[in-house]
Amino acid sequence: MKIKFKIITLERVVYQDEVDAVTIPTTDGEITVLARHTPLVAILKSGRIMVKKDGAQLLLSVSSGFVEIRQDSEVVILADTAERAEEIDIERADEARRRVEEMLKEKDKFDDLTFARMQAQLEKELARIHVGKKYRKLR
Amino acid sequence: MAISTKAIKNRIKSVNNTKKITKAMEMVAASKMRRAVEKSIASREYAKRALELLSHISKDNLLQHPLLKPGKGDKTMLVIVASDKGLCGGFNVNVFKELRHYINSHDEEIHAVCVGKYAERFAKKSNLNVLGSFIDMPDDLSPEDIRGIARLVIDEYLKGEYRRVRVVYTNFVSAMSNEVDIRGLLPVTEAHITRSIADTGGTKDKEDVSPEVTRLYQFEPSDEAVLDLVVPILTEVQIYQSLLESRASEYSSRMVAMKSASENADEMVEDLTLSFNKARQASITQEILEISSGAQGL
Repeated sequence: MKIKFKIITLERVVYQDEVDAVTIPTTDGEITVLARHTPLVAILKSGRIMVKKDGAQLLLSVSSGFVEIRQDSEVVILADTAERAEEIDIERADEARRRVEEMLKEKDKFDDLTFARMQAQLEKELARIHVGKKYRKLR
Repeated sequence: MAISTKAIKNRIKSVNNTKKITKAMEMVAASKMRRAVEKSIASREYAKRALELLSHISKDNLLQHPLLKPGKGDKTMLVIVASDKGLCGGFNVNVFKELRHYINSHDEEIHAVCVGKYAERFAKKSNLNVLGSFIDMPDDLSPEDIRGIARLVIDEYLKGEYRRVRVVYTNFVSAMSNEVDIRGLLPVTEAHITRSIADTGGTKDKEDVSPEVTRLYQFEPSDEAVLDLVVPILTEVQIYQSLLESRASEYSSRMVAMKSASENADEMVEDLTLSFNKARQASITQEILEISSGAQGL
């Protein structure tokens, strides 16, 4: 039995397919969802999503959002941003990471909200770099 | 007679100039509309899924969250979405017509959150208490831009003065037709959501709404943590979607208005050219008459 899997952001449907297993980063740690998983709503963390389909593996990077697992083996991820590994531009992500890190050094200048937002941005870029590099290695 | 032909010529020129402007505005609105429509269609999928999730959650009576319950107060907060700029046909007028109707038929204290200059103007004119006004939202709207509005709405709602929050916006049905809609935003109830899901995108097919869920959800890490995150984000998404739909409608009505303005200009130029030719002919006839009668006098 397969899982109906879908990743959606506000801009587009990033990925949808029938797959065998999905590994998702949540705030409580990584979870792997197989068919007939119990209905669950969990909070997503920046990181990589691993999709297994017919022995093949696919990587995606996501930032915050949430995941809804429905009763009928349907998994819907609503993410702020999501990218497939092959779409990631590592150089740009790396540059973005460096920029954010640079800014974070002067953290006294920001209020809590901006700081938290930048921290989230940094995590997102790190996840992108991680997934992008992994993908290159796999190839 | 010579003066009148000159005056007509000037008028033709000025009408033509105006036509150039309306034509350009029509084209700009058309391309902006295309982008806005693309965007609102792209986010419909997310909005729909998010609303479904919300409706599944709100079915669970055991879950407690302040945003899922009606407020203790008796006031109503309205989020009014109109445009920043004019020259967009009946777009704003329709919104305000619907609003006035709503205000007259509901006997309650209404406080407004305005999006767009015209919304602000309307709220001031009808003596609504304005909580906040967001003008000059960027053309290329991103979810980040909505955050301020959502924060204000949610914070004010949590203070407990309001019974409910509704949003007044224009649903984009097609380039030729939009309809103004008033729908509930807070508290999150199932009835609101089912309607919102069905209405999203103007296509009223109810079959897309996912079937009943019987088993309830498990939440990780905890009910509160998930709800605290999910409900505000979903509220944000609903506001975002309303703004996108309104945007698309605004541009489409501007495009239609400018198109008819250009057509009117064409018609006017035609009429003016006709009267110009008549005046020219009349003045020539007059001259010939004068010359021939002068010749006769010799």
